[in-house]
Amino acid sequence: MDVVDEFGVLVSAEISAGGGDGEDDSEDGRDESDDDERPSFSGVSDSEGSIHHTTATFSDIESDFVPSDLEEEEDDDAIKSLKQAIEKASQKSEEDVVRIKKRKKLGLPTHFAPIVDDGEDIVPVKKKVTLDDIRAHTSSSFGTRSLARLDELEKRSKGKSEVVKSRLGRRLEVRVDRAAAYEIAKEEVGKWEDTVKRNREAEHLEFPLQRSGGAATADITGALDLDDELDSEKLVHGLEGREFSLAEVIARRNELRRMRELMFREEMKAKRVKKIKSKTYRKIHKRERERAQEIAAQLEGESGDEDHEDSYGRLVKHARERMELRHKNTSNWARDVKRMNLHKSKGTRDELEEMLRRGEDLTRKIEGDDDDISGDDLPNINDDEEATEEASGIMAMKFMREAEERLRKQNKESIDELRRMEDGRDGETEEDITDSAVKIINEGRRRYAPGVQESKYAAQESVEQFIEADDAPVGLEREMASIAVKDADSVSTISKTQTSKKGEFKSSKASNPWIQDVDPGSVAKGASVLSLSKDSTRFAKTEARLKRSRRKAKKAVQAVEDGEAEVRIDVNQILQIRDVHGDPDAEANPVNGEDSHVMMVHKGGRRAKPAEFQQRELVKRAFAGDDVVREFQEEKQKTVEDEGDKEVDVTLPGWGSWTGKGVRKPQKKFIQKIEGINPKNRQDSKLKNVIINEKAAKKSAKYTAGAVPFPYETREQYERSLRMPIGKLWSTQATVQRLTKPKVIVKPGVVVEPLSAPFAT
Amino acid sequence: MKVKTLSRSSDVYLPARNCEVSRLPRNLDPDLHPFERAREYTRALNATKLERVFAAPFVGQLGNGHIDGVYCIARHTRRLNSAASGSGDGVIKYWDLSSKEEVASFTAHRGIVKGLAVTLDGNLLSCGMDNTVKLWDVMETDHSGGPSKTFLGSSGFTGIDHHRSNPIFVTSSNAVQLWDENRSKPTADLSWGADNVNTVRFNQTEQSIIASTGSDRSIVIHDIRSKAPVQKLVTLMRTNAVCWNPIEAFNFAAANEDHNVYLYDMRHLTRSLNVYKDHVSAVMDVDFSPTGQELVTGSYDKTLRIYRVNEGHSRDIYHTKRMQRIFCVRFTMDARYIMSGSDEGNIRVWRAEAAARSNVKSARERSKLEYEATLKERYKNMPEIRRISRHRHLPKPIKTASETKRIELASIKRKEENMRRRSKKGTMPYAKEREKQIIGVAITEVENKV
Repeated sequence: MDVVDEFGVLVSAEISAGGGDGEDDSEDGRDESDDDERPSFSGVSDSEGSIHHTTATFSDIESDFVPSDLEEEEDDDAIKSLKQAIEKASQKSEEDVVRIKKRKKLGLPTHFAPIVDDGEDIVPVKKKVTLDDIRAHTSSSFGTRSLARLDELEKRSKGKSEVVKSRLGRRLEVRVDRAAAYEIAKEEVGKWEDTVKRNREAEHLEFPLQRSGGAATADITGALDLDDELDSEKLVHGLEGREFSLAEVIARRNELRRMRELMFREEMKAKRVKKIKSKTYRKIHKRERERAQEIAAQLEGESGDEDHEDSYGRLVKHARERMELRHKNTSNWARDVKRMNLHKSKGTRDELEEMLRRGEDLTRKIEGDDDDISGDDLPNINDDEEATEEASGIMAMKFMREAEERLRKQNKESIDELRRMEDGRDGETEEDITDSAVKIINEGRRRYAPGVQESKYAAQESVEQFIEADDAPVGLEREMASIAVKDADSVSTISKTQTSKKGEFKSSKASNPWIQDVDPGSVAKGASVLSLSKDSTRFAKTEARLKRSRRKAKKAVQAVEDGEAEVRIDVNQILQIRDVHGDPDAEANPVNGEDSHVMMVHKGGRRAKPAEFQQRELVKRAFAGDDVVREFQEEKQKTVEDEGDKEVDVTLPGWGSWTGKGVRKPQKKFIQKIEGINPKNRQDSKLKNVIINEKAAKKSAKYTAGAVPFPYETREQYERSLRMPIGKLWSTQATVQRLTKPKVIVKPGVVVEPLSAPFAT
Repeated sequence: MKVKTLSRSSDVYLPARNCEVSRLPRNLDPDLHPFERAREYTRALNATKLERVFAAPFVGQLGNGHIDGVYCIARHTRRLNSAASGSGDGVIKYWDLSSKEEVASFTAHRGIVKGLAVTLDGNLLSCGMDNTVKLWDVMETDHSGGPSKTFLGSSGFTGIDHHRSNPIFVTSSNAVQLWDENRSKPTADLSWGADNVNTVRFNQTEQSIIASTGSDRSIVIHDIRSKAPVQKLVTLMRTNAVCWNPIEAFNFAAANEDHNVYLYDMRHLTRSLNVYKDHVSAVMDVDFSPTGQELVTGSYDKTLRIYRVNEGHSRDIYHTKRMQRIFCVRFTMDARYIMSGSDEGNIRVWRAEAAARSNVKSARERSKLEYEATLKERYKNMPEIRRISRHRHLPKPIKTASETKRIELASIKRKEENMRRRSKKGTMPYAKEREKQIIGVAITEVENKV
C-alpha cells in the first residue's frame, strides 16, 4: 500500500464528509478534538462541523466497529473489511502504539490515526499491529457486541495470518455506490423528459391525462389475438369452453373476412408501389450499371484487346454526345424551362447548370486538351515580344487576352523599375509618379488611383485654400505655399509607398462613412497648446495658425500612414455644396480655417486612399444642403414656444362694437392666457442636443403596457398578439371556440391521478 | 311604377325543427363592428372587475374541527370526498368533504399525530411521536378496538408516505426507514447523516424515488431499488416540506424556512428551477395541484398562497381573521379545492380558483366564461387590469411585515452593491437568486461523470 493510495482515500473521505456525511459521528464517546478538522462547506453549522476527518485507516476501522442497526446484515464482507482494517492498522509504527498507550494511561483521548502535521503528507507506517492491540485500545463505548464479534473473528482467523490486499475505504465505497445509484436514478427519471416537454408545450391539457382503467370496450373480436385466430388449431383451442351465439359467429366470420381482404389489398398495393421508382433511383442505378460495365471493360482491356468493337461503340457514343446539342440550352426541356420560368426553382436550376457545365466540358474537349493551358504560358510572360502566338479555346477570348496583356505590362514595369534602381536613380520625381499613375489608370477595370492631373490639382488647390483661408501678409504667402506644397509632396510620397503596398490595402478600412465618430484628441488640442491673446501681433497669430495647420497636416499624414484616416462627420460643421465640375476658384470656402487642412490632406492623399476619397465625396453629396444643426435648433425653439405659455385673442369679431351716440368705448381685446411649460422648467432646458416631448399622451398611457411583457421579445410581437379580436362579432364560431379553449381543462368530478409509467395520451 | 320589396325566405332564420335554437345571422363585416380592440379591452376590464367581485375563496370548515391544532391532512387517493386529519392531541378524524361532516373520530396516538398516509386499499396509516405507526380501517367508524395493525419503531415518527402501487411505506424519524405492510420490522434503512428527519415523500410518478428533508438543512433523494440514499442537498435554512410534481417526474418543490419555496430538478440539484417568493414567514407545507400547474403553500405567517408553477410570485393569497399558523395544506384530487389545517384546530376548505363556481353551466355561460378568461389573459399586462387583478386586501400584520421585508431586502442589496462598488472588480460576484440558498450537493455532476 503506497502513500498515494492512502492519500487518495484520505481526500475522498473528506469530500464525502463534505456532503454532510455524519453517519459515524457521535457514535463513540471519544473526544475528537485531536482530529484534523477542516470544514468542507463554509456555511455548514456546528452540528456538521463535528465531522471528523481522519485518515483512511482510522475511518476504516471505525466504520466497521460502529455498532449500527445494520449489523445483522453484516456478513462475510464485513468480516473481510474488518480484516483489512486490521491489516491496515497493523501498518502503524510501534511508536505510535506506544504513544497511544501512554495517552490512554494519562486519560487523554486516543485515536488510531498517525499524527498528521499538515493536511497533506501522511506518515507512511510499516509495522503491524495485532488484534490484541486494537482490542486494548477500543474504549468501552464500542459495545460488547462488536467485541464479541472480534473474539469470534480472532478464533476464525487463528492459525492463518496471510495478508489480505487492502480495499477502498468503506466510506468511499458507499460513496461510489451512491454516485452510481444516483446516476441510474437520474437516467430512470430522465425518461420522462419527453413526456414533460410535450405536456409543457401542449396547447391544451385535458385532465385526467391518462385513462385510469384498461380498455373498456372488449368485443368478441378483440378477445383473441389475430395471429392466434389464423391458426386453426389454436382457434379451436381458444374457443374451447366458450359458447357463442349464431350472430356472434357470423360477426366473427365477417370480421375475419374483412381482415383477410384488407391484407390482400395491402399486399397488392405494396407490389405496385415496389415497381414505382423515382427518377433519382433510376439515374443512380444507371450510373452504377455504366460504371460496372466500364470497369469490366477495363479489366477486359487489360487482359487483352478484346471486345474492341464495344469500346469503339462507347467512344462513338461519347463523341456523339459531345457533338450533339444535348448539353446546350437548345434542348426541348431547356427551352421549356426557360419559357415557363421554371429555372427559378432551385432543383431545375441546378439541373440546368449541370447540363451547361457538361456542355462546356465537352466543348473544351472538342477544342483541345484543357490541361496544358496554364503550364506553358508562364514562361512566355517573361519575354515581352513573344506573347503573340495563336491561342485557342478559352485563351482566345478577349478578356483572357487582356488579362494576359496586363500581366505582361506589369512585369515590364517591374523590370524597368529594377533597371532604374540599378542605374542609381531613386525614381521619385514628379514624372515618375505621373508615369506610374498613368500606368495605373490603364490597369484593369477597378481603379483605385485617379490620374496624376488630379493629384496636381490637389496640391494647387490646397495652396490656394491656404491663401484664401488665412489672409496673411504677402510675405508669408510664399512660405505657406511652399509648406503646403511640401505637405502635399510628403503625402504623395506616402501614397506612393501605399500604392506599392497595394496588396495590403484593406477595404474594411474604408468603413461606413455614415457612422459618426468624433476624435476627442483632435478636438481637445488646438487651443491648449498655443495661447494667443488679442494683443499678440498679427504676425504671431498667423505664424501660430500656420504651425497649427502644419502640425495637423503632419498628424493627418501620420494617420494616413497608419491607415487609420477615416472619413468623419463633424456634427458641428456644415458641409457646403461644391460644384464638382466647376473650377477650383469657384469653390466656397470652408467655414473656418481649421478645416482646410482636412481638405488638403485628403486631396493630397487622394492617391493613397481613393476609396476614402470617394466615401467623402459620397458623404458630401448625401448631406448636401443639410444644415442639420440649425434645423435642429430651430425645431427646438419651435417646440419650446409651442409648449410654452400662450396668449390667445378670444375677442369675438363685432361683439360690442356699437356705433352711435353715447356709446361707451369698446372694451379692450379679450386675451386668454394659456399656461404652458416654462422654458426654464423644461426637462431639456440644459440639454443642448435633445428635445424632450413635454406633452406625452397621458390619456393613452392607461391603455398601453408599460414595457414589453415577458414572453414577448419585441414591441411588434406584443402588438401582433393583440391585433386580432377574439369575440364572436369578429370571427366565426369555430375560430372563437378554438381561440377561447382553456389551456388546462379538468374534467369535473374525476380524480386526477399522477402520471404513471407507460405514458400514452 | 314597380315597387321592390325586401323578401326573405323563412328557411334562413327559422329553425328546421322545433327543438333547435333559431339561428342568429351575424354579419362579420368589420366595418359594422368598429373599435374592436377598445371594446375587447373594456370587456376584459369588466371581466377582471367581476372576478374580484365574485372572488369568494372560503368554502367552509370541516365539522367543528379538532380540539388541538391540525398538523397533518391526508386525502383519499381514489375518492374525491374523503379526507383525514390528525391533530396535536393524537386524535384522527375522517371527513366527508361533500357534506363537510365528521365521519369518525378516535384517539390514535399518545401525543401528536405527525403523519397520515393512505394505503392501496384506501385504509389509513398514521404515525406519531409515540414510536408507533398504526394502520386503521376507514370503513369502521368505531375504533375502540384499536388499530388493525401496529408497527413499532425505535423513536418518534415525524412523517410517513405510502408507495403508489406497492404495499410499502416509508417513515421518517431519526432515520428514513422503508416498511412492508406485511412485516413488523422495517425492510431497509435509507438514512444519510441527519439526526432527525422532518418529512418524507414518495414520488408518485417515478415511484421508486423518495425525497426526505432533514434537520441538518438537507434534502436527500433516496431510491428504493438500490435501497440507498443517492443524493443530498444542503441549503442555508431548513426545509419543512417537499412535494413532487405529479406530472413532471423529476421536479419537486421544497418549502423552506427562509420564506421561500424552491422548485428543484432532482437531476441537477446545484440550482433551483424557480423560487416562489411572497411569504413573510417560514413556509410550513407545500402541495402540488394534481394537474401539476399550480402549487399551494401554507405558512407560519397565517396565510395560504397559490402559485403558478412557472411564475415567481403568488397568484392569490387566502387568509381569515381566525386562522392561525398553517401547518398543512393539500389540494383535493380534482384540483378544485384546497384543504388547510392550522394551529387553532380548524380544517378549512378553499376554492383553488376564488371566483370559480362548480355548478353545472349552460353552454352559453361556459363559452362566455371562457371568452372572458381569454380576454383577461390577453390584456393582463394593461396597467389598469393588472392593478385590479393583483389587488388584495391583506391583514395589517402581513402588509407591514411585507413592507418591512421589502425595505430590509433593499437595504441589504444596497449595502452589497456599495461594497461591490468599493471592492476590487470581480471579487464580489453577484449571487444568483436561484442558487443563493444552496450550500452544496454531495455528489457533484463532474464527479458523477468520472
